[in-house]
Amino acid sequence: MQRQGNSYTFLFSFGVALACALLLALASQALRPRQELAQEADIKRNILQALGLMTEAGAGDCASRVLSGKDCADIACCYREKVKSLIVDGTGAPAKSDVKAELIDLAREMDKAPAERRLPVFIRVQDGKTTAYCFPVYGKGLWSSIYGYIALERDLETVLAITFHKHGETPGLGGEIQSPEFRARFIGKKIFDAGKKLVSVAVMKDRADTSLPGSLHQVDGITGATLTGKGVTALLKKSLALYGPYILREKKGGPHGVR
Amino acid sequence: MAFDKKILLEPVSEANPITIQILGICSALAVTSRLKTAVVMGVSVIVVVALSNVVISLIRERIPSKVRIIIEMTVIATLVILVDQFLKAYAFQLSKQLSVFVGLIITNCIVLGRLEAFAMSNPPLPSFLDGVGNGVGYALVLAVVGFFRELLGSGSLWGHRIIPEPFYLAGYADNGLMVLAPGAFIILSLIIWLQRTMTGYRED
Repeated sequence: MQRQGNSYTFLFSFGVALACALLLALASQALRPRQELAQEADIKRNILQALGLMTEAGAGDCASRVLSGKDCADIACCYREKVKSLIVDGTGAPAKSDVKAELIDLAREMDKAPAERRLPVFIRVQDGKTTAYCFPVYGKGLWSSIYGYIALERDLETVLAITFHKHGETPGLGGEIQSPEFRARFIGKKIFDAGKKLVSVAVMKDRADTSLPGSLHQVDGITGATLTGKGVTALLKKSLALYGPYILREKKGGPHGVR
Repeated sequence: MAFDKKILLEPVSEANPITIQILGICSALAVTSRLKTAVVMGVSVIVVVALSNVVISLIRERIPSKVRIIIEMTVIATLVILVDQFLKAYAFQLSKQLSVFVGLIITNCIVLGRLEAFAMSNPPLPSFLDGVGNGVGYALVLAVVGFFRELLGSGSLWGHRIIPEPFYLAGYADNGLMVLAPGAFIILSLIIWLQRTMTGYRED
């Protein structure tokens, strides 16, 4: 066959494409279980961090090192022992879902009707008692979608911790929402006001005025990242509102013993 | 065939793809705010350039010249996706930080440039050496830029805090500019300046 002929060119290209496609299909199949493991371990790590069971540096109840095969098992083990996940619908009633609680995409659930929503709740359990709650939060920042978790203490009012694990904000400015310094500002803030209304926590443009009673629901903003701050305010409000019915239901039922 | 050291070593210094040829600048800016990401990116590029050089060199006499670039891109893309899949499976945190930039190795001019300039006209072994040499040349510059950006911008190296707490209490502050793209430009141009002063290299 002629080297420069059309049919040779076609055949050659086809051959290369086929070989590449086969190789990629093989790799994708072979690596998938490992990738899913890594992804799930990553989600669990974020939840453990939000619930205060693991610090980024590696201290805490659960060891956190680089995600190797062994540590995946560690995270999974710690998670299994100390965290209980459940799924509720938009009205706060327990619900069933085909998707694992850890893998639910909050962005998609927000678009559904309240009764159709499947919302994950992660509960820190110690000696059979509930010690903290963790909910995913999701919303838009300035440039990107922001994903995180907020953990509440057992009273379901006080913020225990907040984490942002996925965002594309400007490094050094909006990206600072990920920094421990910024996240620490949320600790101890209340998401309910005196009238038992869900007010969430707002990121201020400048400093929160501590002389006002409202400062219980406000944190200092980041200089140069006002719009990211606005995004965080909005996403917290929206995400917590999703869980409003569940929170009220839990509070009415009183703190549970064994769940 | 004689083992030609020049093929391997030249792209590391005198013909460095970044500092002399000014290729691959985009990714050099994007992934160097931390040393770790810079090194992983460097290693990924070494793998991709070396392997794609070998593959193309093996089939170089059979590639129809009309579709040469398309075939080259197919090979590069395949290898890059492979690297990306491996990172996702074995270094998930890092692959999250590198995000799209691993995928963008496909468009890195260094890779296609080496295929066109070297692998298309040389046997597999020298092509492999050329690929490794160019990859290392790229990785080295990235590592140096990453080193300074992380040290000056975040006060840490490889994720570990280097600058002690008392410094901060005494009023030292991390240089936020280093974390942003201009910081990479400044470090990179200082490296280029330094190297060209030392070697006496002049742009034609």
